[in-house]
Amino acid sequence: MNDQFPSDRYCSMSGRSWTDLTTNAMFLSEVQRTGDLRKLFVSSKSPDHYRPVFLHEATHHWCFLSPVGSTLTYLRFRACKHALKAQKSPGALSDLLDDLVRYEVATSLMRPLAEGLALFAQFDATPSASSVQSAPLTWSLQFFKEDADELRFSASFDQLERDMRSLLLILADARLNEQTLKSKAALLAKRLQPSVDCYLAGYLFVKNLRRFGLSKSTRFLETDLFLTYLRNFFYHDLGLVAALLEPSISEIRTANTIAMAFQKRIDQFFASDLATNLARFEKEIAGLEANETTHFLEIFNNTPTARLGLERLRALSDEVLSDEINGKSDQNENDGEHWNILQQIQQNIFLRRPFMHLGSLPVSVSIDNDGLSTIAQDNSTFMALRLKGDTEEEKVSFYYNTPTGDKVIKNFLYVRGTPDATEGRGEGSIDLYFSVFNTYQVVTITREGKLVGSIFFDRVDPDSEAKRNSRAEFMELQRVGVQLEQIDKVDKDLTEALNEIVEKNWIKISLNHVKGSLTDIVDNLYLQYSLSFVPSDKLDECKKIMSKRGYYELLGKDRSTLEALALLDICCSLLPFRERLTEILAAHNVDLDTTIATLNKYSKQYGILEVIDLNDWLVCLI
Amino acid sequence: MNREITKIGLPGLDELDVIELEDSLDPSIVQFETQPIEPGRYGEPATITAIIIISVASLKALSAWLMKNKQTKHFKKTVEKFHKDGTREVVTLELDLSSSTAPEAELVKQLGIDIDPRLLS
Repeated sequence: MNDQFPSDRYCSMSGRSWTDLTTNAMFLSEVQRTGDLRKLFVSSKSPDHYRPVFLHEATHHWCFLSPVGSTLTYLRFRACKHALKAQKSPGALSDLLDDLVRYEVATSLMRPLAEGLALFAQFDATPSASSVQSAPLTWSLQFFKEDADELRFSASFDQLERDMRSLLLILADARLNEQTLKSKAALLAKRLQPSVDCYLAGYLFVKNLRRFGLSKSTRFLETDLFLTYLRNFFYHDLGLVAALLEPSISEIRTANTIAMAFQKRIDQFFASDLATNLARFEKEIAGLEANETTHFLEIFNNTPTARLGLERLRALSDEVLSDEINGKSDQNENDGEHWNILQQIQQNIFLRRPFMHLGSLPVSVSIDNDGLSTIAQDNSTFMALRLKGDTEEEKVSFYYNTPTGDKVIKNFLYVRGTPDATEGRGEGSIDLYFSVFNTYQVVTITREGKLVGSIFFDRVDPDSEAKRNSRAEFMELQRVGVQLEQIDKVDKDLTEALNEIVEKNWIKISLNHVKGSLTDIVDNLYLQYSLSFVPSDKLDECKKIMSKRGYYELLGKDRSTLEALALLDICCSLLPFRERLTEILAAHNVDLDTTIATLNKYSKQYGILEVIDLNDWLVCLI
Repeated sequence: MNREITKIGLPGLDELDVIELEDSLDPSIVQFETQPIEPGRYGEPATITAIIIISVASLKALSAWLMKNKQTKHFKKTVEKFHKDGTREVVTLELDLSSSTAPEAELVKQLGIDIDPRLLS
């Protein structure tokens, strides 16, 4: 059976780490080893190559936690409900098709953008003095900052300066390791054909929007500020939400409305007063509470259409998640039991979307009659704690053993047991989550499919009532909900059910018709911006050459030049000063001047590449 | 048993290696397999193995590829030999790419392939 329903998963380039648009569940393949998970939790240390993948997936997570992301989630939820109805009432097929078309069109149009933003965070974004910082970099600081970093900095630096320098060290370690450099070179060698492979097209799309932005405001030299601006510009677009939820009489008209709204948004980026808008954006963001991430930014939504979008989004939320409007009224005419289960699952999934799942580890869990619980893998115990069989939170001091055998006290943890923390031994898992709204990390301990306890590591105001309530709510969600694997299974079941219904019914033809028309739309849309700085007389040649293997073909299949370009582009985002660049490149056996000369040769030939020297400050424009 | 070598497996390749080999070898004599992820090694980079059918043309292309990527003058790689009788053998190739000895001849010798090295030059 062909998959009719699009994949919700946004993958890292290796395809093994992913973020799911609907559930916002993440899977980070790089953190499945015992040592990595332990380090990440107890000492904030992780392999360097893990960090760029974290940035990539965290950016997806951040983008999907937005008005546009919520709208797509609701549409998918509603499609599942229409599919359930359609099993007994064929009339619901039209409604199912309508939702599938909206979802398919929006995700196809936005997938290159989503990957472009994630790749920009992975390879380019660096902190600046702006009061606005992207969520992925903020989270990176929380996860990866090492106490030892602080000692490297002058005592005269304030905390903001220290954090910025810590982040730069984190990012430099992450991006200058061999695996990340290979990954960047592989990205540049991807085919430039957005409907087939969205990575390079999406990346160049984002890079070129920044390049245009730079011509309007030098503030866009601040890459992380630009990333934050662009994410909010597109994912807080209530005008697009209005189009996504526009009542329509035909699927083609729906598709056109959505495509036009997305194109209009891109046009607005180029037509707007970027310098003024950026200043207003910083001001508006600065006025928000730190954990206020579900706001609707006025700066990007001060239009009647946006207000209409907000109304429609709220109505959709009520329709999809509220028991009152939907579940009860439809319960009798549909399969009531299935309907209720689906409703509960969707509500639970939606509430869990702000929790980032960072890793999972299969373990054995033993609890003795005194509540002493030991966590082991391969018969080797690596964690012990006392879990009382109730839901009261206990504040405990915590230590871990360093590689040299020293015990290090790690502040306090907040431990909660559940009624299932009973005497016995069983197989299960420990899972690491991060609450993006409340900024605590939590390890859940599951045995034989039941949650037995959680350990919270909360650095910000942990003893406040709000935080205690938040931790209790998380536990409640975990108790009634399911682990990532189970959500994943539910998600797969729903996808399979949807695919089956589509496959067996007439709506398949209509959906395929829409999908077929999207290929050209996506290619034309992204190629015009991905290559927007290429002179018109060289555009066709560039498109043709890069459609095969991107820059690899453009650079005459010269691998060493491609790898030098990857290295130079990464370095320019980190330390753009000529003297430092010369040193770093030399450490990788690359000569800076030779590389620039070679790249500028191709720049003259195709007009796509340029390395600019601004008084020994180098800017690499790819 | 027939110990004639029919194919060799070249593991641990990255995406750019694959692109280059695709350019160097006829698609009919090479296939690429993504390595299964071993338990406990989830974080390792995704690597790819090229399975190459042995012929004069493929050995010439392989030698050329090795020479093209001689950033390090010493090439050391574990490869797998596929024999005609179905058996497999893991061997380690070690080539000094800076030496005056033709790499094709050394490659054939270390792989134990019965082919006149002069055909490869």
